[in-house]
Amino acid sequence: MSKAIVLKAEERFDSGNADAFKAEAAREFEDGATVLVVDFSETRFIDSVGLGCLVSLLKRAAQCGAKVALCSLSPQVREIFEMTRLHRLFDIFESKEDAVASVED
Amino acid sequence: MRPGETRRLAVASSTAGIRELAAFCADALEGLFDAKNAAMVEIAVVEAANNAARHGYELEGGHPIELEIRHDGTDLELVLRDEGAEFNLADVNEPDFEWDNVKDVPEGGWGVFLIKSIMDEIKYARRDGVNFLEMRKRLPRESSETHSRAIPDFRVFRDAQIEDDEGLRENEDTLEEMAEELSAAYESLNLFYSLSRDVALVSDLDAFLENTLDKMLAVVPEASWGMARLKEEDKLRLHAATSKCPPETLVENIPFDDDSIEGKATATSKRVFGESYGEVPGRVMCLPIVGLDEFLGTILVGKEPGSDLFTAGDAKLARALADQIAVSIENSRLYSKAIAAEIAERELGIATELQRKLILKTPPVAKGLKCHMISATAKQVGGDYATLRKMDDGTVYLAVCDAMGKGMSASYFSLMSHMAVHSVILQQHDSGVTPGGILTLINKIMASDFDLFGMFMTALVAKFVPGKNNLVYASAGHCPPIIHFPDGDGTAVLDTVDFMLGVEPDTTYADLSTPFPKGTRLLLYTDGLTDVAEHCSEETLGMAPLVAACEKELAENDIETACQNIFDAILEKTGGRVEDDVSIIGVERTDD
Repeated sequence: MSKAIVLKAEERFDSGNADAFKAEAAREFEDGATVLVVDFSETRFIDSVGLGCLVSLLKRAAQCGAKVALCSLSPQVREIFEMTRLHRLFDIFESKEDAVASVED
Repeated sequence: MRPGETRRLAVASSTAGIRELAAFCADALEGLFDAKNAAMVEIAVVEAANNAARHGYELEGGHPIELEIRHDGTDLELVLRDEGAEFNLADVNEPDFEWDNVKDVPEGGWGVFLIKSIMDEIKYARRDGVNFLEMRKRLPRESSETHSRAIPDFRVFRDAQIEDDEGLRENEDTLEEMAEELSAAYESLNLFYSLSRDVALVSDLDAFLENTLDKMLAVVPEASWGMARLKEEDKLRLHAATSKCPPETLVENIPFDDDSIEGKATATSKRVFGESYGEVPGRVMCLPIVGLDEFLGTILVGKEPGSDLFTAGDAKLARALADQIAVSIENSRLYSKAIAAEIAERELGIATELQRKLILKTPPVAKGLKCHMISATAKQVGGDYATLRKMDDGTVYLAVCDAMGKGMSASYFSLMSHMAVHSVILQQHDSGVTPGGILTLINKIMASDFDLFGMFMTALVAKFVPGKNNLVYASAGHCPPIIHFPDGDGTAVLDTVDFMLGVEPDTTYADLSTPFPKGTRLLLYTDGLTDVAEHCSEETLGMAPLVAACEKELAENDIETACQNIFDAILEKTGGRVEDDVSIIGVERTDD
């Protein structure tokens, strides 16, 4: 049975909070989450530390057969994913509802 | 930001510091780019700062990272400086994008790639142990189109009406040239307007008065409140008051012939002491502010009831501040009239003149120490300041300061550092203050000024005690002193470590000590000697030519000749130009 968890990223996703975010997500995986949806609706800024944190989460999820999906990216956050080609790696959705629905299908 | 404007911020290397830098950057970019591009530039800055903190300082907190943003009309130039390990971005390889499997995806290493992708141009340089990362981003064309909208676009006219007629084509070329000239003139007018507005902002008189009063409370023992009144027609009008002023004292206007303490100071043009201020108990001291030839106002300092009498030292300090206020008021009044470039230039001339007067021409005669000073000023007024102060017991303090930038604000800072250095030395000498203690205090006293003006200053203070064979000194990000020891012990560049003044109000500056036996010669100087371009070259000289000149001159000549020869040697390298102000203090340890 799939268990989707939505975590909201803060307005800035950088070295100031990436570690805390990673720890929180890791707890969710331990608690049995099979899908982690990262909601970027309030995120205006992401730097390479934030990106690194997401890649690390994706690797962790892969190890335990879970998935990571991203949703509600602002144009500037999407641009950073595209520049670093990481958009190819993640499932990216327009909205939280789309992301959750897709995994429940 | 407007064309011609420059903004700077230095932060300590830390997550919070980098966020502060990002917010400062976002604020500067407002209105220049669309939201997406502004975010991109901010990311490039954060990545550059992350690199400085991570690779330069190996994640050790508390080291300076400074960002300077310049708007030159067409481009935005961003320069990030740090003092960490050398890190050339050009040498960093592109991250690996050719992964097929999730486990091969790197978890970092995009920072430099992002900077290079976002910026139009990046350049890295390392000079004197400082990393400079210069990034350039072209501003969107829309803004220049907005400017030229005021000027008709002759090209449209051409396309519609002109086919192959040679005569008409010539006309059209002339018109296009005229349009370009007009457009250029408009740009420079705009630039000048923004510059003169900046200068006017810096000379905000009431803010300056409030700052000066705060400073006075910091240096006069037990003083708890103060106010400044300026003469307006036949009244003294309240312009600034500190936060603890008793409410009864805050009368807006006082008539000239009033028998209040301020009235008395006005009538006699002398300082007046009192046991109370009207009905408000507590000792007060009032000083007239007297300009070159007129009475300008009064400053008043008050203490809580039951405090000690004001001392002659307190009065002297207050006098010095009153004099400084007088100078500033006169400057500021001249400024408010300065709407044309010609007048602005005259003001800067006055500032230069004031500053030149501040720099001591003849060093004091001290036992055990021979001193020599050289000061050369560039065409534009800068922020150099050098001084020597001999105390009654023979102790000599040496100080060299260099406020960032040029022009009026740098000059104001010279005046302020003059006040701060001498006040702290006078007040603290008897309690055995050390150079580190002096810098720590000055940094605290001037913290709000640094903040207000967005200014930083480097400084070096040394203290010579007669009979001692060592010299204690402290540095706030200043150029390292060069020392020559006698008896074949050679020449050395002394260690200097700490932050510039104005970075962190709570910095404690460390005392450093060097042996200083008889025959030792020491050179203190400002970066005008090192940060100057070599003749017919864009490369700056750096430390090497100066150290080489010192090795020779400090070994072979007495201090006066050595200073002059060292200065000449540098001038020879630059083809005789002084780009920035240069101040040199040379000292030689002699017989006690």
